[in-house]
Amino acid sequence: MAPDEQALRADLASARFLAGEDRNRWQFKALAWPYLFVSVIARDGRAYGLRLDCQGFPSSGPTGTFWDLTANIQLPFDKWPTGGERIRLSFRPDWKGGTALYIPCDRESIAGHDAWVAQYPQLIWKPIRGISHYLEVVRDLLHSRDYVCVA
Amino acid sequence: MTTRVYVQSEHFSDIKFVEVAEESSIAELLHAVAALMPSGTKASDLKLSVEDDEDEVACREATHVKHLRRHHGVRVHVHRCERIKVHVRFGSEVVEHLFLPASTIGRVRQWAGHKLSMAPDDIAEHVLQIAGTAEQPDIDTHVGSLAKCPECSVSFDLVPAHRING
Repeated sequence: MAPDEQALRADLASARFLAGEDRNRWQFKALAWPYLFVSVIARDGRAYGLRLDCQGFPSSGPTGTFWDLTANIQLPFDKWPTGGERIRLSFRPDWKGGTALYIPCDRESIAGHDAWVAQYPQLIWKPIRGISHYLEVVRDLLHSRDYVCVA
Repeated sequence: MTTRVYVQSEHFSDIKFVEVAEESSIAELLHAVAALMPSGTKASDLKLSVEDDEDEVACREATHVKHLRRHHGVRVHVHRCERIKVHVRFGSEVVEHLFLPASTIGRVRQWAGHKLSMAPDDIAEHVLQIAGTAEQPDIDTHVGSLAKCPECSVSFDLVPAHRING
């Protein structure tokens, strides 16, 4: 097994990841290397699937997008979380064709955004915090006032 | 049946867990938790607190691990301080309170927001940032993890949550 896959598997067994699962912040679904499938629970209880490409973990952060875990396809844009400014700025179907979330801890999105390191130091990928860091950032947005609950 | 007990402490920066039998006594739990500590830690100095158990009912009345179970499992903190003095600055206002080491950042933020007369929606749009740093601990971090004995205190700024622009 390659070191990056080995590191991710260890992270998925870590107290930080399991503690988030036990709080129903997120749920592990599957690992089909290099893809991790996981759902993040929103303020209204809705579970949003994510597919994260974890190649290079943990020195490189993951990159990924919303995923329909049943159909195993990218989540259609009309089913993406919507709402106010914070949501619209981060969950952008127009960014890289919707293949990466527009957040500083996403390795595809940080490329070319050197200013983010100084602007959003708390959102920059930190290997020591592991995959839970990415999930916490998404979860915070899905619990913000700007997230519009699904009727 | 074994249960997973999540442990935070002033002695390590990240959360850890131990697995013990539900029927284990608190003394047995403390013994298991002591094994997580760095060598040289004096176990008799450590006090156990239960997450967000501000009135300390759980800690006072519990004799076994099963009594510590809450909605999201068993989560404890071990620290040499009994309480942590927390200051929260928001603009020119500063509020302070003594929290259990096992109080979460989420709970402190709620408390500070109410104390500062913020609307519930506004509280959720702010985060606690450790004063003088850019560090914003996540909402499940215990304040005890951010404060060492003998200072037993930590200061935060309450700042707006990020908006990713540009």
